[in-house]
Amino acid sequence: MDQPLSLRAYPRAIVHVDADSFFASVEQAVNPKLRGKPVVTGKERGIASAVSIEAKQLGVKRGMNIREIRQVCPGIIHVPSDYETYSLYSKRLFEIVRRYTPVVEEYSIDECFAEITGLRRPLKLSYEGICEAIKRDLEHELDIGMSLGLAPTKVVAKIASKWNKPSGLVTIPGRQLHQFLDKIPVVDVWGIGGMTERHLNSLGIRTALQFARQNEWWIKRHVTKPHQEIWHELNGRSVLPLETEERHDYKSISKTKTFTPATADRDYVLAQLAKNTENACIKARRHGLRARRFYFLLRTEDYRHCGYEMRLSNPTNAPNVLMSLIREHLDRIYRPDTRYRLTGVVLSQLQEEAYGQADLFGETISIDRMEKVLGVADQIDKKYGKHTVYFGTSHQAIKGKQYTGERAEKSRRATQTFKGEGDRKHLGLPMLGDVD
Amino acid sequence: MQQIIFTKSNKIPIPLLGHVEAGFPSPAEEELVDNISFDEFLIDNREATYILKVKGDSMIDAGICPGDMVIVERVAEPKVGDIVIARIDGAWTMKFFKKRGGQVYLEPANKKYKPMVPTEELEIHSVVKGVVRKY
Repeated sequence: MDQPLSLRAYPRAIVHVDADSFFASVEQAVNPKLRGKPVVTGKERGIASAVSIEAKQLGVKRGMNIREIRQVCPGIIHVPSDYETYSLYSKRLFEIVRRYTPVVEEYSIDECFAEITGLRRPLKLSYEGICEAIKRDLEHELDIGMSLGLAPTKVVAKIASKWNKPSGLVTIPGRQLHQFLDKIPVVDVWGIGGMTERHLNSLGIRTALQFARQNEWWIKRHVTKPHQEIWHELNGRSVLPLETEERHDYKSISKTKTFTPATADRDYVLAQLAKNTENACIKARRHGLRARRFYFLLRTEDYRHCGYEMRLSNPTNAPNVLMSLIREHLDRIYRPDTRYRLTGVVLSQLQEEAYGQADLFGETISIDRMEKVLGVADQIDKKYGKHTVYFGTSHQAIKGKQYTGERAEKSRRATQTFKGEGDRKHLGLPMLGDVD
Repeated sequence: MQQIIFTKSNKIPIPLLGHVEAGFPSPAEEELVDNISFDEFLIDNREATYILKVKGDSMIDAGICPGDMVIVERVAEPKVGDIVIARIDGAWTMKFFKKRGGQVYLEPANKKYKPMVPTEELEIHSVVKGVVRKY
């Protein structure tokens, strides 16, 4: 049982970096009033989208609604999300890790994988030392707790970073893999979900080590390809590559909006759909993509969904084309006596703009003309801020009140601006607020 | 009109456009010098740089007025004489970082205010690298 899974310490050295309670930590970093206090973000959605370490200790969990949060923690500070600032911190996180290695996979807004294999000599540090340096830079410059895991593979590094949160650094060289994995329930392995857990449990496997100890014949017989890869990784054999490309190969673009109170006003629903469509098209144009499929959906007050999907004969990213389709087909799903709380659109089967093909009926010409108009609109928005020009149908959604009551509260960054900054255009540096 | 005041400008590289002699055209060697943007000029370590808005007048004699933007950087150790941002009682405060007989304290640049001697640990957040004022 004590036989190691691997004899080499780090055939590859892979670090997983994970920011602790990211959104809540950013709020505490930019606002000294929130330091050391139980804080949750997501006020505008009425839920806890991130939970500070202090609030976690009091029993607040992600996804709880306002009532549940106040029940477990009456003194909670609930702040509206400020994605602009979170995104600035996210970019900084990746840039700091890139000081040490160019091989960085931006896995999500608050975590990344980095490969540091072979960098001991140029950096004049051990692998553990490199991790300590990355952690020190991140925590000092961003003022946010970070948890790191170092291991020969991505899967083990990801488990390791979670092992000693917050602000932990866990290093698992190959020789110690078996001791570490013995303590990990198989469901805590990245990529193994509840279904697979039950399947493995029924085969007598409860810990990650028991899974790793199976021979290849057993693995091939009992689990699927992705889980076979996990098995290799748990044994210290790195098979999952780091995806270092920036993510812009969108498979689909979706935009949704929840509004409270729910409404039965058809014009308002249409305005929200128009805004969703405009936003999705802005994103598609920014990435030079056109959709071949278009889907719009509504969610009712009692959480029922209805939607309508279309195939587009001419791939497009022009909101007016999609809006006329919505107008044409909205009544297939819209019921006048029903109140709706969410609208959304999805652009899918995206293709590069360059591959457009002209149709036989001259529609391409009017599309070309429209694209020139939209190109100018994009330039105007770039100069003066998003939604400087927009379609009339969207007006009610863009200019109207989106939330009422305490949910209407804006993020601090939206209210603390400098002369010269617009409503939707701010300097690209985190704003810490007022100083005396 | 924009006026920009810098503190500690000795550390920031400034492009030199050659000498200008009054009255005569100068064969300035512009082609030898490179341009930097205001961003590059104002920011050393971007990942550690933040901005704040000045509220009070406690640093007015150092030329920092209410409404100004201060550009600050999180550095390892502040030096004596730096203007620093400290976190005190759930708020930011900006003062000169001073030391006397091994005791650190924060000194305002306004006679109306008294120096602040920390009773417990003093939490220095960052050092002021520049001040921007837009009219």
